[in-house]
Amino acid sequence: MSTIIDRRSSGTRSTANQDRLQRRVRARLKVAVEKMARSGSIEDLANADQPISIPTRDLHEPNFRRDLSDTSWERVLPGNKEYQRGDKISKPEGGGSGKGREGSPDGLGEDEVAIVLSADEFLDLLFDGLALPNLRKTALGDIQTDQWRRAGFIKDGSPSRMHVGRTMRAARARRLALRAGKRRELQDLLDARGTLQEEIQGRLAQKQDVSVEQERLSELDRQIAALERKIKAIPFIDEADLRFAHIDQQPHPITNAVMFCVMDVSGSMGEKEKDLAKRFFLLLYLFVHRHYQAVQIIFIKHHSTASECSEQAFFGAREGGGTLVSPAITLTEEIMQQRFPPDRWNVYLAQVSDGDNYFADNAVVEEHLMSLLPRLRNLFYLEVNRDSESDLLQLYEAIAQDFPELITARASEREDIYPLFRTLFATEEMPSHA
Amino acid sequence: MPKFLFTDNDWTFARIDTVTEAIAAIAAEELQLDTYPNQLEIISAEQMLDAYASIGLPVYYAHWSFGKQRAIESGQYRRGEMGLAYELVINSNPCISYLMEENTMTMQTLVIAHAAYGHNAFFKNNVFFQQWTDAEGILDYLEFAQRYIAHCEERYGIDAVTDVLDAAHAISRNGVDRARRPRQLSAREEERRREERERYLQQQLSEIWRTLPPHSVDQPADAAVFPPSPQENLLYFIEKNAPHLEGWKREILRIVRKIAQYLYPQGQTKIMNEGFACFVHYHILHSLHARGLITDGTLLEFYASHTAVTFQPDFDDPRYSGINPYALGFAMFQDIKRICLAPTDEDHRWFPFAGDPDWRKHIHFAMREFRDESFVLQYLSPKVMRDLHLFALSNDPSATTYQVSAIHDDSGYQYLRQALAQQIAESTRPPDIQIVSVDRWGDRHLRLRQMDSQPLAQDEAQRTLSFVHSLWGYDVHLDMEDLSLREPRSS
Repeated sequence: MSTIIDRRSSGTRSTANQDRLQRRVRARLKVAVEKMARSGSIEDLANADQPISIPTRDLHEPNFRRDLSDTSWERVLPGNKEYQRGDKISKPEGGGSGKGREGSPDGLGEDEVAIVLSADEFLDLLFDGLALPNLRKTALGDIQTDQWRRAGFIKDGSPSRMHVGRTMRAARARRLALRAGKRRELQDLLDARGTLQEEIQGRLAQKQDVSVEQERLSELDRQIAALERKIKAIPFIDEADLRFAHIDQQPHPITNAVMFCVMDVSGSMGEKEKDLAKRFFLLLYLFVHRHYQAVQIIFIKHHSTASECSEQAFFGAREGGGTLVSPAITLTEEIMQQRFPPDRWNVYLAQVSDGDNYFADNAVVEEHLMSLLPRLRNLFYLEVNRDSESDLLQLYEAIAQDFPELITARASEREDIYPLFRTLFATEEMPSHA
Repeated sequence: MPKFLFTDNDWTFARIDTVTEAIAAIAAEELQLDTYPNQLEIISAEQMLDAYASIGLPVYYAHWSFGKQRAIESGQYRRGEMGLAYELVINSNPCISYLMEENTMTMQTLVIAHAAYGHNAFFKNNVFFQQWTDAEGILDYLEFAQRYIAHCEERYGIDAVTDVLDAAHAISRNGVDRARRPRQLSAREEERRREERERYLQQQLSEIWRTLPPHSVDQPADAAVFPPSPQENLLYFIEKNAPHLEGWKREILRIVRKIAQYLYPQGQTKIMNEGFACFVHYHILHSLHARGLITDGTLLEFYASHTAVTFQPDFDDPRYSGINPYALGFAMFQDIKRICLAPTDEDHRWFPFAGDPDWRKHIHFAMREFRDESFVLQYLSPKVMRDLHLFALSNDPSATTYQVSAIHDDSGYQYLRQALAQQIAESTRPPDIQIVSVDRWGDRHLRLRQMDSQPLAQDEAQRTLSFVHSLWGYDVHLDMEDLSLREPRSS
């Protein structure tokens, strides 16, 4: 009287509850996510899978409950060893109700709930309501490669692509179709022959003449033989049955992106400025990352010369000397040409500088930018730690009149970065650049 | 001599089938258990966590609190702080038992004996389950509830539905009829009556809330008290009488109330339910061994699990977290059998049935007719109290010490029994808060009163009241022992 059912394949049904939970603590999750964005290392954050702890008081479900801490009560306990009736046991310090437990190894207290966000949910929260700007001219997905894709089945093709299953299926269908009518006809003839033979038997028994019937019988036999020949002649496989797997070239958007991070490491860029830069790069990276399968980062530092370097060197380095911006732009261009041709890559450039540039260099920068910009998706320029706009920023702003892909901003405090980022990319402000 | 049912420890569907047959035979022949038909479902650990999050119900509407529960439990499970239950069983007909895929064959055997026969028989025969729950209708009803709430979410938005559910959950423990037997559930009937209710309710409400009474003028005379007697079921009262609640919100209150009602007996019979299931699996596993159907190894593995489950840490043990219902229940049912088969002089003094060799009759009677509180009052024997070394401790908030008020000796047994029964009663019952009056002719405020004397957690009560307020729509007061909380109009 018992049934056994295997439910394992029906999977988990927790998604709806999970959604509603996240919905409820969205504000808190956002705060936590933004906090993580401020303190994490650049590449770690893109794969954020860490649990975010939410205080349970946010998720408290109140009900009418007794509070016995301050009242008389009586309790029955197991495990008496030495007590007799009337014994007095002194109360522990602090009223006796709180025996706190130590936190668990992952730092979650008892009054916290860990919510694990997927990378997508994390970024959704971080970039809630933001979009990449200025994509109307060079819409995302413009850049395409051709990829071979399966595209159904066709009736001719090279033998190597013949699809046996489909071919046999077609052959069988054809055989069935061609035979069916003939079979039916054959059956009719056989039936007729049967009745005729019975008739002949009958007439013979009554000693009647059967010559007409005999003739009719041999006629039937001829027809039957002819039909059987025809049925046999239906080929097992015919040229018309052949099917070939078809592949076709289809345009496919490039899903790889590269982000060049260019930073001024001359003496004037201190820890604070670098920190600003780091925040900016981090957010950009994450933001760009949402749109592509994979994003590569190239770090380029420059003072009077420019060089490619590691992340550590990039943020750790402090080098003296004057500042030239053009070598960095040139180097970016070179690396792009060699390793990331823009017809195969979505190229982004993010630049942070304090704007100190050798005056004569600005013209060189302009010239290079003019040739570089059309091949970029975006160029983000952040100027840090200045009281007034530098010549370089003014130059960039002028260029931005013609190239809305160039986006400029200024920041002087760490706290500015995320709000700045939000204003830059807020969707409602998007079209108004020219 | 029959062969062993299994010798290595991997479970297969075929083995589960043969083992279930063997267990069914023992349950029927030796224990005379009367059970619902069984439906055994194999599930994964993830699915077990799902089931945990929804109080073990196989179908449930969506709410963030279940997501929270799952987040907490899956976190504990991943960190290894919590093992998952080996089984979960649902009071339904057929009786659904979940078996974890990780279990060994021995564990599956134990689980089938425990859940599919022990709990199952308890669900079917215990008088509280019979009277308060409807095993036939519950699965249909849960599906109806899930569908209806999903429908409301689509129509009125997730947030609006969540607000109502939050409020309803807050008072769901006060949404149970304790004295009156609820009507049977039926999903079809529900669907049909739901629409009817929606249509007539507003009409009926206008009757109660008519601003101008028909014969009028001397209104406060007959306005004396509404409701005529205090109402313990807050959810029911609000569902039927809240002045401006939309129909679908009333329906949601009703769903929460019906499910709370269905779950109510489980909280009342924890010790008995687990104790009886342990008693049954203990008997069945031994019987399987005696019949030569399971190996010594299997029996040893069973002992390891069994003792782990029925282990009672002492009060001063770091693992102590209250009285283990499995331990207490199992000890008590075992002791009933012992009192029948090998009574001592003491047992004869305490229990009139001591020495009656038909122990099944007494086990069955105990299992059918009691709940935890009365079960302890009736059956907690001096031997069990001695074995568990029970003692009672009382607290006087003004004193600097606790006092030991009774221990497991001749003068303490009765006292301990009563104290433990009292403790169980208090822990399973929510504070007794009832609706005493509605100001029908004035500002429509709702007055609640606490009927028992134990203090409430103030902050909690305040927040719960604001939920009541959100449903009622007008001011809500709660009269407590010495102070009265008032929910401000503005919240």
